[in-house]
Amino acid sequence: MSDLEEELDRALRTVTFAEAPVERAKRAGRRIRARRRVALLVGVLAVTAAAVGYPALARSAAAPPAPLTGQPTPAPSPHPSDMAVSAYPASATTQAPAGLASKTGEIAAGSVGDMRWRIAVIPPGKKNPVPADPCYTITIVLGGDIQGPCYDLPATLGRGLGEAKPAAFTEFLNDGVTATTVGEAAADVTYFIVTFADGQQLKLLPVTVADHRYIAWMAPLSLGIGRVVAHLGGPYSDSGQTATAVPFNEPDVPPVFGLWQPAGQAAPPRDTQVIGAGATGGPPWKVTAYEGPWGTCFVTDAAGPVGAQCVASPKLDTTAILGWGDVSPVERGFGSAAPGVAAVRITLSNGKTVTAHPVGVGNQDLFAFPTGKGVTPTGWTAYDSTGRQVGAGTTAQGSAAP
Amino acid sequence: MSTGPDEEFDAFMRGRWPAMVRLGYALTGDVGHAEDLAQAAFARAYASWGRVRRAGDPDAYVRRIVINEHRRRFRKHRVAEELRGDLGDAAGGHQEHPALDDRRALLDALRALGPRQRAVVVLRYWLDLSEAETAAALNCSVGTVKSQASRALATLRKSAGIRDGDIAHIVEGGQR
Repeated sequence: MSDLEEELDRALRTVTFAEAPVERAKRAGRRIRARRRVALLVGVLAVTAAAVGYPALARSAAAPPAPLTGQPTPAPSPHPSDMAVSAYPASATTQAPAGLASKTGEIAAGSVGDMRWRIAVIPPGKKNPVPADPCYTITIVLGGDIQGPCYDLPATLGRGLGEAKPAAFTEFLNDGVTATTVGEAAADVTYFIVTFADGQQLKLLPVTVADHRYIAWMAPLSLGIGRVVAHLGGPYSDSGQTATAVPFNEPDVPPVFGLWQPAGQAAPPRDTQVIGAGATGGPPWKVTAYEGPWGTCFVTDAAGPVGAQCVASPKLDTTAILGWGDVSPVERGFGSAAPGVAAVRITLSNGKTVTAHPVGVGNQDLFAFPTGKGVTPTGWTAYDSTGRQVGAGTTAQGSAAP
Repeated sequence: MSTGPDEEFDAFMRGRWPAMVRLGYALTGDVGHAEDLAQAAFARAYASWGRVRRAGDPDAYVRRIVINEHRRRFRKHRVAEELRGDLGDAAGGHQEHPALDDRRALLDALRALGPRQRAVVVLRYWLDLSEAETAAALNCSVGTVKSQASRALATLRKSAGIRDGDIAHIVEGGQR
């Protein structure tokens, strides 16, 4: 330690101050979170009000800039004006060998009814609140710009696509009125067609920021998304091949994208079953499995849905614990069982065990089990209908088969 | 037994609160401002706690917010210039001691520095961050840290209350 450091340390250690106001800081943190959630809604309401008062603003908002070469003009449709959506690459994009690119980070712009929006990605670096993580900002245009904070991009985005799929999307930002989607596209995607439940379509061209290709759009949450089709080939060449994602839709919850299917491949059959329920030491809960073209989604209910996780696999035919955790107020886990498995005994980190009985959902067997606060599953043992052990594994082994 | 994110945050804030308040005090010279800065920083960390945890260095995150918030407030209100020479007022009761003069001189010398140079001195030579870490925390280049540190040390060298030996020690042994 240098003399100066020592002297500074001594001087500063004489400073007296109050105890750490943990609860006050957490309340302030919750307010920040709440402001983030409502910021967009405020923007929406303000823009709508302004557009009513200033027809010129409404006209301006309704007229998107001229599209880039090769980009379609959104087809006019007989939708209620507040439900009409448009999206196009940001005006700052330029054509590069790997596709459209943006040096400013702005990737897309568009409108929802009279409200105009822009979305920018801030790559990892000095301008980012967390230098190691990319994030994205949403700007609502109202005379001047109203820019929100930089929202998280999930770990699957901004770091490249680890799996052979054309895109990964963020969870939607749900302000109760509009939903925002930011996605990362693979290198071979030419464009995406997003089809909403009412038939409206958006054609989206990926824009590169810091070596990653992004797309983004905004739409009313109530509009619902029917499917997203990725047209493949390359940035400027459509080979005619496609892959389609049908999102899992829960009421009032943003769609969840799981499975991407090549054209012509049969979709998993649709089925829904409750795979676990209880009230151990807390409120009643249940886990429902939904199988369909999205893959398999596990929805946890405790007096209403509290969490949905989707597994992007057309068939889960091995014994594995697929997920667990706290979806307040419930702590639970869920998994899949190999054919012939009648019971799965799960070992928990507190030394206790819990037994689950797989339920047939479509063409697979799934189960759910309670864990407990701060408790995680560490392993499992599978038994057939005679009680004979047919397999065992640990959570670290992932999908170990019996 | 593992702890949840909330419990982790509680432990983190309780553990790092003194350091962040002292950092705020070193930057502003006022305990009230220092506590405000620290609380605001921890609140922002809590609002994004999942991402902060994933980033792997919550200490650096909160420290950076303290520094950035201080810079923002300085730009707006010039509160940074309220750094007080009278350590006793802010530091609570103290006994007269020969070393106190040195501490006062040190804080006086710090007060004479501009906000960025002061921040470089505090981060580089009190928190003992490397040049790269200091640059990251202040959102500037390593070159800027070097030049600001050099100027700050030159200013401190000229200050009557700072011994030449201190500066020599820093210059010779302080580079990482």
